[in-house]
Amino acid sequence: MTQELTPKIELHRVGSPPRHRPVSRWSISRWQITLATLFVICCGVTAPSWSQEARTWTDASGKFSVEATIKELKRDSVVLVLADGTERTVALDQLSDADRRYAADYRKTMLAENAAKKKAAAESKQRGEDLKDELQAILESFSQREEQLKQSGTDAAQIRNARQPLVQETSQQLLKLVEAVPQSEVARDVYIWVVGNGAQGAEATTAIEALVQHFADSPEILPFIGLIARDLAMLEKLQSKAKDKAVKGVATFTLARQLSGADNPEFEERVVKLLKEVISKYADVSDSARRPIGPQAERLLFAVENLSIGKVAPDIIGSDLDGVAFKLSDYRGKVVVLDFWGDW
Amino acid sequence: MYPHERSLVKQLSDKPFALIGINSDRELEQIRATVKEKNLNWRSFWNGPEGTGGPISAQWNVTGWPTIYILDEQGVIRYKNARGADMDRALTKLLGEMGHPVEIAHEAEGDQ
Repeated sequence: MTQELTPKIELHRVGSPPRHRPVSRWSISRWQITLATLFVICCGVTAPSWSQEARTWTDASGKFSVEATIKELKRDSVVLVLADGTERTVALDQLSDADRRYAADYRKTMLAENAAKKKAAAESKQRGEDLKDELQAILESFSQREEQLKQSGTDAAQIRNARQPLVQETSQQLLKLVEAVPQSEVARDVYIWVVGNGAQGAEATTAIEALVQHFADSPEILPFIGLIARDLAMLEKLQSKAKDKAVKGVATFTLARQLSGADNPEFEERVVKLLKEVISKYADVSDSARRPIGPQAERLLFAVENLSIGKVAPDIIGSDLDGVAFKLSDYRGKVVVLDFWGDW
Repeated sequence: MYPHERSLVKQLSDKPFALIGINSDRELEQIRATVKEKNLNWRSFWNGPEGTGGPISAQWNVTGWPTIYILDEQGVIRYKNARGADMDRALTKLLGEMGHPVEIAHEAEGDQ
């Protein structure tokens, strides 16, 4: 169809006069690539990929046509790049209906693509991806200094002591790095690094709080629930926020265990409720040592209901070391020290 | 541990008191020899050949050794993991409640 619509005449001349020297296919595409690249650098927007193909533009009368690539779409006009690399600006109302529809599609696609790009950039920032290099640099510096410590240290305790200030310093740097993007993946990695490397004090608190605040649903925090449990309020927060089955299950069981450890009769009702929840909903979830928490919860439930202070001790029926059968209840009426012992 | 327990059993032999062990050694013959050799003067249940994985410690949810429970004359659990001087105070209180005032003092004895 393009070939039939001869003669090819430029629709509207802007800039240098047309050159009639034929331009090879290769040089055209190179031109187009260069222009497209310039366009991106200067304006920060990209044309839709399908618009990089040269097409035939026809005027409203249908008499004139030209093969060209769209370079820029303005409000009332379009900038075209001809096969020889020259540019032409054509008013939209001079173009055929098909070309105007093409321009409208182009505008729509470009807007959508630009919006998607902006969104991707924002998400990338949200993920903290722009911080990954800096994160890597900080961690590499840590590793180097840690290695130096290992080389110069004489014994394990000394190395451990010298390592702690380094962990604190590195933790500070890392936390500062992700301060603005606390919900990013990089931030999550930072919090886990800080907690996992045994940072103490404010750095540890910041990291644990952030993990609970923003990553209550990430299975990555599973190994650290034991550490989080040092702060009962934090553990309670995690337990109530978590939706991930494994996190919720382990947090619920850990909370029950912590509360039962206090051996406070006031907690009993709550501990029993938590343990029954673990047994009914999370029995198959495994803890960080890969043991299912259901059976553990059942044992603890028995202990809370039967082995707490104030409960009548369950009877023990067995044999002594000489094989003579006897019962714990044989000693009712006496004060009994029950001593689980072993000679090892 | 052993000297303190031996001393308690000896001192409170005429009181309504018993120290009952739940032994979690795997080898019965071996622990019998130890009892004789170290003059361990209290009765113990044997937790069975599975040692710390035996049935009594499992039922009692014991995860650390030693674990101590102190029961009053009704069989009610009154103290957990009270050791050394804490155990002495607990026993003094419980026996006192029963009308058996005691003063517990331990002679210095080398551990073995």
